[in-house]
Amino acid sequence: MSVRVLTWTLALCLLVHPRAALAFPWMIKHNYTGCQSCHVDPSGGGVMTDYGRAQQQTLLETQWGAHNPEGEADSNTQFLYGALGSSRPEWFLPEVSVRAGGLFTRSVNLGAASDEGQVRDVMVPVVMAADVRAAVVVGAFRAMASLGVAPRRAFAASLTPVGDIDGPKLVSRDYWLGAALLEDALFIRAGRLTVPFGIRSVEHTLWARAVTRTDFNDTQQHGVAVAYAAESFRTEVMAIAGNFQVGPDGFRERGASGYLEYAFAPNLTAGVSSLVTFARFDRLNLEANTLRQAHGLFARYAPSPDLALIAELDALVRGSQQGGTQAGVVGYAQADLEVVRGLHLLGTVEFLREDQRGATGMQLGGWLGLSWFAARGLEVRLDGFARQTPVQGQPSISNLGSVLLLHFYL
Amino acid sequence: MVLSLGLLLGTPEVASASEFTLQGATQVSFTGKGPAGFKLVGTTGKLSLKDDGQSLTFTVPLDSLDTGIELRNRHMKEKYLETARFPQAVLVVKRGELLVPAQGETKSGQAKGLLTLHGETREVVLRYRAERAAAQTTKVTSQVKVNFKDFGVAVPSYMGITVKPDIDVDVSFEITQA
Repeated sequence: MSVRVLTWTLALCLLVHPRAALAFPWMIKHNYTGCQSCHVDPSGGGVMTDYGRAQQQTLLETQWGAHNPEGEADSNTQFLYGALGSSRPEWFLPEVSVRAGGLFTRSVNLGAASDEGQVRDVMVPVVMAADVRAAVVVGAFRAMASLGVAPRRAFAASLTPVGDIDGPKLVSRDYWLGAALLEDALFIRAGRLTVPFGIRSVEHTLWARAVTRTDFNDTQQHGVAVAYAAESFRTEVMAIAGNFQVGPDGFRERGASGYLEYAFAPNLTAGVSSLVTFARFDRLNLEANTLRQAHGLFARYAPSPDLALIAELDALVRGSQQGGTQAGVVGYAQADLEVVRGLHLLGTVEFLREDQRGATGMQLGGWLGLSWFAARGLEVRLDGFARQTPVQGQPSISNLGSVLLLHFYL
Repeated sequence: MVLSLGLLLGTPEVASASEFTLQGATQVSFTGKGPAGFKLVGTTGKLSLKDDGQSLTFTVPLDSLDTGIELRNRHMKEKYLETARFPQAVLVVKRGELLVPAQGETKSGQAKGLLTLHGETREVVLRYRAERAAAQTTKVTSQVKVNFKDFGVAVPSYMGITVKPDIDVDVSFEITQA
């Protein structure tokens, strides 16, 4: 891949990678080491339970006025600010998620052939996500489905034939049927699922999520997953049957993935993840007979009720017919400081070493973010980022930028 | 809220009328569990001890308990423990049930006590570990399992999350004997 294409690839990979779900590993600040009490998905993210919606009021949002004196969740924490009222059956949990805003990136490639190509600015409006989701919870039975519109990319989640990758498409990121047994400790699901691996968070463009293909955007896979949550640990393993929303069959990865997270204390967890997949033809790297592996560690720690520290480190191994066997590493560390209730400052550093696609050496990145849960069902997110990619025989490529998003989750 | 005590007084010549007093920091915590690994932990550093020569009485002011979430604290105190009516948890242990390890010794075992919580008094069994490194100071850690239904406390439930009635209580403190 040429350096010019690499430059644009790096810049554009920051565009329109929708963040389709709320998932906050920093909830460990409130001693929530697991996700299942707030989310229907046992590993977190996606449709919220009634308890999860109530926690929005209690733990997430900026407190503007007087609390409900009884302490119960306001009715407007429910779907569409409680528009359905009591007509919504308790077993039916719908959601709407719309995330849109603007993105600016500057790509600096001093090794480009012409002056014009050395600095490229891109400023575009973005619709990161426009999804409707719903879950059904009846006794032990669980079901969940999502449907949305992706103005660009997300083609691996497309429901319709994709002629133009950057064109609008109908997407369904995840849908499954399942059963929660043993007082909800054991959760068995089958369908299109977010791959269980590492730390599940909204920052899907982090290299740790993008390179391992375990994000919320469109890397979900069809398969069967079993999750178990006990007092001190939680785990999920998935048998991956492939993404049947891409074709032909040779493009589909098959294998397994899973994680195990142990809670040493209410404010400290650590875990391991492992992923192994095989595809006859890797649709992203364009290599045949690709065996892709990722194995890593992660941890979450909340030294105070206002601060969460999160880190992940993964070893990458990829073998293919063309490229032989290549090893790499990816990781990140993040601090989330809640300055006042509802206002978070985030700092993230990340790195990636993956000698492919024209990049060599260690890629470095840094993010500064502000996340403000300004009102019921509204998050304002502002991020500034910088990434540096070393290129063989040339100065490194730098990508700088910022993104401002409004997220309505109703 | 339940107290647990793990202090053992041994031979008659050791179990004298010398008064026991608390010193240093104390920690009382309880852990409640819910579905799918849900856990909530409440803590307090407030613990008092009264020694009348016959028995040791440990008292925790229940309004001092903190689960880390204000709404949950309010529910716990107002709806379930009803601290306005029953402000304290009290554990009474007869001195005859207790042994004090000699200097440099560590003792582990069980003891019985009477716990009064939410207006109800029940016998509880405590597991404890007492370590006496210094001359008059003994470090004690103790655990007890309590079913709050035995004390007339309603089962806490909120928005589909129900806390199981079996609660684990952990206590740690240092005690000196005059």
